[in-house]
Amino acid sequence: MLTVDTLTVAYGAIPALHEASFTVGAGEVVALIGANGAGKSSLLKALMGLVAHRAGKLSLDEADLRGFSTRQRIARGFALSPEGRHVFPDLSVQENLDLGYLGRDAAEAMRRAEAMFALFPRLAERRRQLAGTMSGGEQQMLAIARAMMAGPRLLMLDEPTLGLAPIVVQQIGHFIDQVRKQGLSVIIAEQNAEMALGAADRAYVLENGHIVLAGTAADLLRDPAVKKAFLGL
Amino acid sequence: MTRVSSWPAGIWLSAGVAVAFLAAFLIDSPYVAGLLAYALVLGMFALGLGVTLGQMGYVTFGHAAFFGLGAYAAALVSTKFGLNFWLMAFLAPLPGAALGILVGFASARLGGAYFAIATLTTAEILRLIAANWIDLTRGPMGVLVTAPPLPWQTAFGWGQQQSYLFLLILVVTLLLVGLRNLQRSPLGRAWVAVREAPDLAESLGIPTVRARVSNIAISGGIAALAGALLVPKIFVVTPDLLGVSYSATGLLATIMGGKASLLGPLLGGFAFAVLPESLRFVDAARLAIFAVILLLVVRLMPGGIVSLLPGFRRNAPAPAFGQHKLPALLRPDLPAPGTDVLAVRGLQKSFSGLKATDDVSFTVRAGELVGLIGPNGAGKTTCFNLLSGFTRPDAGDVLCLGRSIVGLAPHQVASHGMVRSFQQAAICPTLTVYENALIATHRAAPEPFLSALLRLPACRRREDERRLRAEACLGAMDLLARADELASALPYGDQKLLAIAMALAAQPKILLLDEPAAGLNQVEATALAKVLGDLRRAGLTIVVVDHNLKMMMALCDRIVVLHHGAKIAEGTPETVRNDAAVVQAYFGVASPEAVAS
Repeated sequence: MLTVDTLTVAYGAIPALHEASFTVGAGEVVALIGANGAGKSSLLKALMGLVAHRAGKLSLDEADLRGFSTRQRIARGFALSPEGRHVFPDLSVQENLDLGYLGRDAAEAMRRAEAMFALFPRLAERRRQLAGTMSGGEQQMLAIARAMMAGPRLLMLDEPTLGLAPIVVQQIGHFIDQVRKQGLSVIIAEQNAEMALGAADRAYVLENGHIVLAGTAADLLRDPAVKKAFLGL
Repeated sequence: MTRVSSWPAGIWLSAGVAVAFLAAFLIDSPYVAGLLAYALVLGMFALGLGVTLGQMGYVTFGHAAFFGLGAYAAALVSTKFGLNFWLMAFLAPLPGAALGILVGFASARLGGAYFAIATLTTAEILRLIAANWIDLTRGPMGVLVTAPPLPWQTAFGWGQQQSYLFLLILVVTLLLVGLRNLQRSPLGRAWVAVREAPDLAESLGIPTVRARVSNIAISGGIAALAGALLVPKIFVVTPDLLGVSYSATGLLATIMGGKASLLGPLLGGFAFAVLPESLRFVDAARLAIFAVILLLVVRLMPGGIVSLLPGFRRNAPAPAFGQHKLPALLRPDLPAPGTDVLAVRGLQKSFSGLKATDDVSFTVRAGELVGLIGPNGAGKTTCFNLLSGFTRPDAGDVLCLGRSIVGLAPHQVASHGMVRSFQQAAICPTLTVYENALIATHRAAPEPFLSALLRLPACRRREDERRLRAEACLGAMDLLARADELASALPYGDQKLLAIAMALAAQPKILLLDEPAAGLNQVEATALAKVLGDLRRAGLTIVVVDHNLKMMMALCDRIVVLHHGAKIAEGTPETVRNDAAVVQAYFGVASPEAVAS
């Protein structure tokens, strides 16, 4: 579904991502793992059009995305839950979710929000609460739910388990399973390699902006280099 | 990061002053001399306004309050009591600063729009008083002032205009030097910290209210001096000096010139004095054209005119590292291992009926590394907020190093020896990594105001101390190679490390870390755990909140588990791991072995 061909992203003179090529199939969960500064977030931001890529090609279902604004990309089925959550702290849970829906159909917005509340009952309890007053885990759920409000075909999760208790990490893993069953494609960028590889079908390992390893998640979990570099085993 | 070669500020300043003096000497047209004097006064006014707007990021809509107050104070006192006008002009900063303190205390804590509105109303009140207290001010007729000759006018036989110009150049020069000294002192850095991240500043032991009030007082004092020094040019002090038009001129000049630097407001003041005049040839449309120029400058050069100067850079480069012997990372007076340093007693806090902290008690001994874990929303961060003074408990007590810290401001808690980090890495985003670290040294080596203003030898010595401390703390977190990068450009995990480096620079006896390993992978977390372990072995007491169980289980001496605000377990990692309630609430369905192994 998504094809990324020799994508290069740079901030000024410093390259953050160097000729990265990879694919994501329909209904596939792909993990990106790598150390801090390896280029995972830059890659996701480039996919969303939040940073311009310097070279390379992005295509969704064979259509080149060059020149597409972030909004247009969202309309075509991309959605990102950003690293560090970035919920709107002074808006309520409901208002945060409403902002995630770009259409004009109020009934549809309501329907999607209800679906999110069903998925994350914790958010339903707090729909009138200001997002900034919620715990880190709840804010993370909200960020993911807000991304889901756009009705994406490709959901990108940047560090979805950042600062989450083990029990919530399991819930996020469960959530990814559920959306996969609905036919969504998912890209997870994660420090928690164990969780990401557990949830993913395939994975890419990034190092200093290069994709250095690729394979099925199960293979990578067994890979001695991965074990040493990310799992600390 | 490439280093742009830049002229040292001292050379720029000397060259500018030399040119100005020369110009003052050569000008014989009274019109040009008058214009130059007006430019210098406006520059001075903008320089003062820039202290608040640029350094601290507080927008002001009524800085003419200070400007006009200075003019009126000097004019009224000198005419009513027959005192020398010049002497009174140099005392004008006093009422300006006093008004600044008043407005500062009344509104600074609220910040942002409230401060802007407070200045606006203050200016309007003063203008109405000046216009209506006819007995004192002669109302719209204004106070007539004749300034006596300046000492050097009679001594050297210079013209009156020339002597006046010399005085203005001298004052602007001294102000530039003084403000630059302050900018490079803990006080100036405190202003920037208030602008960038006020909570972070408090947590590092910076008294932010005092920093805000001092900033507004200094800004007001300079504006008042500028107002007083305008009087000899205009002869009549009228309520216009307190009007919106002067407030707007000062604000726009500062923005147009470049609010982030000292030179910027000065240039902006010059532009505002000279441009409308030099556009005289287009006559009626000149103000409209000037407005268009202003819009273009703001749109095209957000950094202001000053950003066009060769060698201008917003962030100063860090010095070369590794040149000197670094100070010890930790303070020498850490409490003896084993003594109780932190005792939390029956702590309670509710938010709108929801119990965020419910009768929590625990004790931490010196040199211990205690973990605080629990599900998201269990109240761990609230607990940290209660300990560090950001939130006041409803009931209960916190004894820190033998003293109750309930009711203390966060900066007082930090000064008392307990420093916390934030869950969402709190850093100053527009500053470099090194500048961030330097801000954090504020508490460890404080600087008296006069010593900072004059940059006395003792101040330079302490500044060296602060630089080395910043270097040591960045080194401990392995961030020296990124010292010149903007903090906002760091990957998330490195921002967290920077936050820890900053907390260390504040020289804590007890360090509270809120999710330091979030955003780090297991290998990076292990490296962090090693640093924390080393600090603990060196005698630092640490309390950590984190979800990285592998790290926590290996690192902590003891773990306290919170759930729904209450403590549900406490003990060694081994005990906690096998506690049924903890497994149920925190680890979830997976066996704890699977989670923690």
